[in-house]
Amino acid sequence: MRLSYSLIFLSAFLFFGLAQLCAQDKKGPLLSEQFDRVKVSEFADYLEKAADCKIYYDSTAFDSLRVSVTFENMPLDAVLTRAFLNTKIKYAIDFEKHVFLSLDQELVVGLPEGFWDNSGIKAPLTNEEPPLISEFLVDVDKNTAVASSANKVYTIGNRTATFKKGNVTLAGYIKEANSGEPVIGASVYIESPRIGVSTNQSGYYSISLPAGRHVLNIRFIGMRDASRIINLFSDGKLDIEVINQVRSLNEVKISAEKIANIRNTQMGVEKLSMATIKQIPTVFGEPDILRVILTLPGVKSVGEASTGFNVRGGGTDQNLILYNDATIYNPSHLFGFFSAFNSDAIKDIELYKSSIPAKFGGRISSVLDVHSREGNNKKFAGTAGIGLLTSRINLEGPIIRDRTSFMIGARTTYSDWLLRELPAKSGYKNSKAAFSDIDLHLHHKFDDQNSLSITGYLSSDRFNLNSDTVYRYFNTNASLKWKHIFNNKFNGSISTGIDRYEYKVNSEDNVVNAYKMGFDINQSNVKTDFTYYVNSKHTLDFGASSIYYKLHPGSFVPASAESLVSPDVLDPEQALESALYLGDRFEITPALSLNVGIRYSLFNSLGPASTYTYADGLPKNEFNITDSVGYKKGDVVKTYGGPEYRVSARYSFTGDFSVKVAYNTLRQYIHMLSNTTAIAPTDIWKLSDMNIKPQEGKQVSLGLYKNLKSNTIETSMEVYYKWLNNYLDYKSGATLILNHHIEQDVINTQGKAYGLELMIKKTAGKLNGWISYTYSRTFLKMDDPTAIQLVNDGAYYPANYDKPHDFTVVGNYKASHRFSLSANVTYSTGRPITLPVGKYYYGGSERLLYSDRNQYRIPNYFRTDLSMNIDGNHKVHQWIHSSWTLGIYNVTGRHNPYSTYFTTEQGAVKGYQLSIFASAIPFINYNLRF
Amino acid sequence: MKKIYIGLCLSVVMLLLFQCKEAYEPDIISTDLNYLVVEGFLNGNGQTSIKLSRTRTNASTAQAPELKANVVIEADNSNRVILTEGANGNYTTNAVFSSALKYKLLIHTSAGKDYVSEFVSLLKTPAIDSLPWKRVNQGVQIYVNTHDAENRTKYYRWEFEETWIIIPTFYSILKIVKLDKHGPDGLSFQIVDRTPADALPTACWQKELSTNIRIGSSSKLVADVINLAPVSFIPYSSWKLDRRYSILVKQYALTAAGFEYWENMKKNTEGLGSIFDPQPSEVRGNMMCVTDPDEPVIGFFDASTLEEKRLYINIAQVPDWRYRTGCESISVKNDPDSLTTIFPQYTPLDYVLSRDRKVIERYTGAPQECVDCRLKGSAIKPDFWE
Repeated sequence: MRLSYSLIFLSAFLFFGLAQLCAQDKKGPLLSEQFDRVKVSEFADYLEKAADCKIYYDSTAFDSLRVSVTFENMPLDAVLTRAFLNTKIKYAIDFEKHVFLSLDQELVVGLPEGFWDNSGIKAPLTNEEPPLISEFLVDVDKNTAVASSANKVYTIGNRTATFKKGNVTLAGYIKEANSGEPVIGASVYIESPRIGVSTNQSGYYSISLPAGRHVLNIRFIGMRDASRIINLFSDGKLDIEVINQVRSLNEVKISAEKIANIRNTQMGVEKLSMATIKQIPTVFGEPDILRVILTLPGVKSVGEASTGFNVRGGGTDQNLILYNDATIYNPSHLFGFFSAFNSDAIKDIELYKSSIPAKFGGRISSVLDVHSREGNNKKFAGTAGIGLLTSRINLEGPIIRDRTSFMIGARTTYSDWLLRELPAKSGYKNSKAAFSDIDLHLHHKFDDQNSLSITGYLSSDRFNLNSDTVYRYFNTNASLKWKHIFNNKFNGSISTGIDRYEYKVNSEDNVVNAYKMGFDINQSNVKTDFTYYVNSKHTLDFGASSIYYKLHPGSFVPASAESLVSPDVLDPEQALESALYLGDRFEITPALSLNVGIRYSLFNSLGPASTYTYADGLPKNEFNITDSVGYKKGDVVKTYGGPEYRVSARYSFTGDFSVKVAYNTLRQYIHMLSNTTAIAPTDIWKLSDMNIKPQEGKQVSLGLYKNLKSNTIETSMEVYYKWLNNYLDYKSGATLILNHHIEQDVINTQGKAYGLELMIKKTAGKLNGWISYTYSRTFLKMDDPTAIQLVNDGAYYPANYDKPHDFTVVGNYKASHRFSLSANVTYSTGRPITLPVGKYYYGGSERLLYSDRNQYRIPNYFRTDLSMNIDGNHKVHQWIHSSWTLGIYNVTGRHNPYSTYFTTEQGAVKGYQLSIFASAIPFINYNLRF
Repeated sequence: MKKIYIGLCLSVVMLLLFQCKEAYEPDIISTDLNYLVVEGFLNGNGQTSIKLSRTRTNASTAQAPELKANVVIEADNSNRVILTEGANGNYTTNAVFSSALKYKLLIHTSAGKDYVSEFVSLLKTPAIDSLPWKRVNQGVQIYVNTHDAENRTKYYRWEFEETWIIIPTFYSILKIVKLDKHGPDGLSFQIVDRTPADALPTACWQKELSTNIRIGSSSKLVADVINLAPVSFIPYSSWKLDRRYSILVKQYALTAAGFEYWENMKKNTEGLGSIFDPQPSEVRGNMMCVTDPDEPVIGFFDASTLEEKRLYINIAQVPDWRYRTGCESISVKNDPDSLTTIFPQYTPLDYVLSRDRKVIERYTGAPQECVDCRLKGSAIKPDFWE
């Protein structure tokens, strides 16, 4: 096991004439002598004479030490090595033959890596200071290409006699030492002058520094703080391996970098590592990234059984969910009880709520960027988890050590047997539900400049609820990404992939009505991203992307020969969405930095298609059709496009206090058609076309960030105001599926959302976690002058997910290395609902007269979850590490209503509230790692 | 360990029955929404009846019929038929309407407001082909099959009337006569033979009208065929199928707009609550208030002929069905103390003579509802009953 040191570098030693460094030329005279328990001072005197050198040391500190050593015909450095082997005494020699002796930490005087060669020296030494502190032995491995030692000076570039003037660029990868996986988002900086960058998605950094000697610091939560001493002569490369801070079973760290929140220009970015995600209790004990992001300020959902989420007042279809650049259309399994991501395969997630980088586009509310791990490229490893309803397994390892790694993960349920056990009375006796997903990741490094990664993802769901109607849906994704480093200042990637989402419904019991229904969306995309580190003030990001959509909006066909179902297949839709972007991260002064981006997106709806045109200013209905136009394959039906601005700025008043502002505009060309409150498996998507305009979003936000107690407590306050345009709502009672002219049932809606988000986060210590409070409102308004019947007569009404007050506490207490406790407390205002305000008699029964939409609220929501994690022993060298996760979801057993409804029973109206998890639910999971 | 495992499984099972349903009575600010409700259709082959009422607050239990309105059906050739007001806001006419014309409904309320419907065509409803039924897992499901050879109808609505016969569990030949003052034996009543005049009926009939909206559509099929559309469901061991059961299904043709209106009303009041259900929303019908165009009017006026079909089901046809009345008779000794334990609460059935047949040794009795079927239905045999 290799340890790294947190070295406090003393710049005071810089004065030792480093500017006069020259290549090592001679070893000096060979020495032979024998010493037995002599004082250091005597030994030093001998060497000064015999080897013609000057030895510096603190005589009081070395007073008590004795040296025993025998050597024959050895050069000075070998003598010193032998003499001080296994002692606290370290030595260093510079090129003027000055020898510096120190205790515990050697002085750095600019020797190249590998100067010391301690192989073959095994002389026994006696010493008055017996304890051997082996950790402090410098571990020098000449074969490693990476800088793994904090104590050495790394020479970067072509060594010249003096450092040249001006800036040079240093670049490289930061990797985790054990698995070789990249460390994403680590801060790489020097203290003076203060210049810093953070690593990108591949763990790559590029920093522009004045030539000279620097201490390069690497900070990343979960990793030991590391530093490297560099002599930077000209542009060069330095890969750095860092080491997990905690013994690897203790996954208890929260959040990204310690100071990132203050120093980043971006705002409204939430980054969570898998370790954080794993400690938050979820309903079945299986880590679930979508449940966890719901604990973040500004993220809400309609209710517990829905995986769709709403970010700062946006719709559930306005989130771009990316899994290694592949778009995931349905991120949930089993009615939303599980998220579609296998937690073992995931490295971390980033959620952009406000400042969305220019490289992302296509959705107007947020981007959820999920990254998988690359797989261990050093040794074969795996994890597995066994739960009551699901099990998962994940295997990873090298195919070619240090170059090619793979990771494969799979998950499945076995809930069918449980449903079969249910009593007939329950009404779920004949139900079935199952899901599975498979992840495959390959990563290959050709050389230092080129690497390739391949991701494959497949998820499938199938269920029927006590009827013969079977629902199935699938996500299928494949992507290929090639990263290339042109030089230290310029790198880029090109990726391509296909994404597919489809669902199928079939019902076959009634022979005459037996049908099969289907929907699918396919997209092929290609995307390039480049980063150019112009200098220490400017970093440019630019690139282009293109997505070709092919969508089959619906088919309804007979399922058997006897079926009388008339086949109804909607024409496929196709479109091309392209974008160009350019962004500049501009550090005006160390305190003030600016992130300016522009993205131009262009959308072409393509033929073949036949569309109606409608009379201007009149309702879009069958009576107002003025023309029907047919387009051939390849014709452009309609083009939409426009610039999107992404601007943010940060001003740091002090190192731990900053203010940020941001302004963002976004456009969205694909819309989900849904009239249910949550994402339903039968929701379909629609591309913009002649009659459906793209959605537009605009957001301004302001934030204050202050860190306390040496950055272990982060506080933040963000306010935002957001406008949504051309959001789609539907006429009451509209049929969305198999609708040949959906534009006749669509009503353009405007939205506005505003809110305040407060958060206090403790990132270190035995007790960590966060407390957040959000006040937010979201209102929608139908402002379509041509529509006849507007919801609430065209006045603003609260959106389904408008929950003004939201208070969340997430905490984790690590009682010991083997035992930790987590708690999650959530309170929020009940969501708005439409309630009956009157009743009447019709059709043999009492009927209800409903209020204007969303004028009432269900009771407030409160839930507490607890979980504990018990690890097996921590012996490093055992085949399997195991742990148990057990806990209780909804400890208080509160019946949090998910929805209320009113129904006619025996001719009278009855009101009910429906709770999804209406009791305390215990869960247990067994996890193992090998 | 095993115990824990079972416990966990149970909780998971509970969870999967995730619909924890509880009564919910929200505090709704009382609003005095008072809209006109128009229910009824123009009957192309029978009596046309339009029922007018008002919406009420949630708390109100009383019906709110709209009385003293002028209700007129006007054809597109300007011919008018005035409907006569009956009880409870029912307005009827026996006029015959031509299927060649279009009609609209005009209402002038006593409050002086005018309402009018859109013009509707008189649709011809195809006949019901059959009423198949099936013993299913939890009861008996009755379906309707129909078709329109001309492929014009496509949208259907059904109502039904269920009738079933009730045979009392016990036959009583005795009755209790209450005495003004206690008799010599200390009893306040006397048990005497029934005369033919006060003999109890041997059968009664109960009737129930459909309360749920039943609609169906063949719009997605190549042929205008409705196959096994569920209409009525008799839950397992319901008393409706104790002996003999009958259902009269009425079929109405609908327009697409009418179908949509009924479908939405069904969604609003009979569905909802499941995770993926849409939100309730009001859909306007084809009536509007002329005096105040912003005032919502509830109801959809349509016109069609009416088709009916009747089905009988005997208990013998339904395997594995048993309605438990819970009726048991009790036999008591003929002495005042014993008799007062069950009479006069129970109805006397018969007596048992002593061995020498000289004295009444015992009486049998049973709860009144097990003897007198008039407590559960009407003793008048319906005309159609066979």
